[in-house]
Amino acid sequence: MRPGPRRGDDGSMTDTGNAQDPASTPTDSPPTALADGRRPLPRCDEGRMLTGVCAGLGRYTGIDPVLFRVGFAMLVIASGAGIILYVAAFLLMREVGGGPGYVEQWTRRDFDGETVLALLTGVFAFGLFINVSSGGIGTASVVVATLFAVTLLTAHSRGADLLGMARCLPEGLRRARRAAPPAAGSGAPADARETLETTGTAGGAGSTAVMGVPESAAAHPQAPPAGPHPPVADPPPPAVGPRAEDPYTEDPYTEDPRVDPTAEGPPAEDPRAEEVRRHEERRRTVEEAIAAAKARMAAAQARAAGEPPAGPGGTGVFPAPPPGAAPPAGPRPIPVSSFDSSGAPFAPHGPYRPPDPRGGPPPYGGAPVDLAAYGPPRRPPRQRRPKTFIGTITTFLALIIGGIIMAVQSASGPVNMTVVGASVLVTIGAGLLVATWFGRGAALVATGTVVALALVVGSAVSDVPRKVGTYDWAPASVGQLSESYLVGVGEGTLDLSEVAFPPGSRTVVEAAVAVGELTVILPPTVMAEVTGHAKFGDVKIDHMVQGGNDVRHERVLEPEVTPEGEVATVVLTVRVGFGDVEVRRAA
Amino acid sequence: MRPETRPEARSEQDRPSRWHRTDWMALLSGLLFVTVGILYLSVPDLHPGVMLPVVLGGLACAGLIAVLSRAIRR
Repeated sequence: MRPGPRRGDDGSMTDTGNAQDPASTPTDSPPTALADGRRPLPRCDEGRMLTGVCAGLGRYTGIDPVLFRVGFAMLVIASGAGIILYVAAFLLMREVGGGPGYVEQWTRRDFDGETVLALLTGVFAFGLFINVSSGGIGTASVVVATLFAVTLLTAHSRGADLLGMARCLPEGLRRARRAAPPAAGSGAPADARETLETTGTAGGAGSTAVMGVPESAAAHPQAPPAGPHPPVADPPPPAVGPRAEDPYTEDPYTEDPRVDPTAEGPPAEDPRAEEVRRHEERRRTVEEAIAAAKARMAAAQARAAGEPPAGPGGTGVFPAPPPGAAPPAGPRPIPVSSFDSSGAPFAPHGPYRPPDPRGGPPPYGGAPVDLAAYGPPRRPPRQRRPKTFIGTITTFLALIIGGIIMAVQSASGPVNMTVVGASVLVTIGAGLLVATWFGRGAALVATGTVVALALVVGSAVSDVPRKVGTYDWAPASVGQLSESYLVGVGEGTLDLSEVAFPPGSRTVVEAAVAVGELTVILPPTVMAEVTGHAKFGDVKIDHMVQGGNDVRHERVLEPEVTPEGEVATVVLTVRVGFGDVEVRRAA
Repeated sequence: MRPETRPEARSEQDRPSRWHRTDWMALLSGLLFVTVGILYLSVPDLHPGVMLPVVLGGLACAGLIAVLSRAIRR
């Protein structure tokens, strides 16, 4: 946990290595800031032991990485929370070179350092919760809780606003990537407009280097800021010597370096006239180049024929005047070998500049590529994924198989939902095995997870949900009685009117329904001790009804017809989750 | 998680192939579901306290392996 970046008096974000000591600086170059100036949390390659997680944390927070290593080691020894936390940190932190981390790549998001630390704090808290919930308050829980408390206290003492970080966490997670990811391993961001925030002070004397701008320009405090008028690279140094005046080597499309490009003022001439002038210069340059080439060819042919070279210079090196042109008067201009391999290459459009990385027009005209003029970077159109029917086919197949099994079971007896669910799960698993190399299986994974959890939870609740439908039980004797009669969803009728209970006997019977109705019919010759429960519904015992939520109804029913001999007793317990239950005498 | 398409696996019409590289999440979760289903079919009384961690842990392991495999491929 680290304190948030301190703000100077001018509001500028500072990037000090030690929050306690603003004058201190990081031990090495600071990490590249994100597009909007937020500070990332990368792993560090310098002084790393495993993957650079602790070194990166130490570099970010200004705390000795050894303390982080000791903390992780204690967490690993105490419980598995250390491993989970380390893996989470490895996935969340940016790469060593400044590239996006794994989670950032998967989610197409940019996480700043505070967001990453807030997420790690959440993982830490989750690990503590798991420890406490699984093992109670034991040694492991105490160690994890102590380290968690120490971490929070340290962050608080260093000025971190924990509540503010928690409030800003959703915004940080929703923040989409705004800039192209930096080139992996190079440490330099791909976006040339990303800024590097180095040391900053309250007075705002820190320097801000703009990528893509020469150091000299970036180092000047008075350099124009990036914005609507992007910074222009320093003009190339003027040529030294006579070549500076050479009309052939002079780039007609390069602005005069002696003119301040940032100077404000009305344009000197009409843009259309300027365009025409440039076009004329270009045409003249090309014609001169063609004439020079012809002269060189003629000189070469003359040398081959043993004749003196033609042309006023007689050397073959000097460019011949264009046909029809008058001989130059006055001193001859200084000859320049402009178009042979020993001099500067023929480049009528100026020196080579790399093309626009975003695919724009070539950067003719002498001005650097203005990336802002091209708008946001164009992403290649996403390849349309082919339609896959593996999920639909598997789902329908699973439903058909489940339906067939339910039909077969209902024809022969009660339906066992566990068998149905297991069959559906096996079908989904088979479909996923196909989706391993063909189609997509994400939907099947979700469906299978739901079915598997329902299967496990359904078997965990009780055996009741396994039985669905209408059930009628009519035992003819005491020997056919079972201790319990259960229905999951549906109706159940237990008819005990045909059972001849032995005189003086005491029989315990239990009947339950989760959702639905339950009816128990008692013979008129027995005494019944009835206890009815209903979580939500009505319990009716011999014309006495109690309904509502969490109902408990108890009654003792005397025999309607006095039997011969001693009276038999039936201890009946009926339960219903959602629905009605009725206990009555046989007619 | 979207399975990765093999770059060389393209048809003559330059359409992306339906075959892709091994989707470890689908493979491992499919094996898990098949195993759990067969267990529930064959063993009558499975304790939910055992099966719930098996399902959740298996899914978590499948996801982790899928994530790692994708990271290694890159």
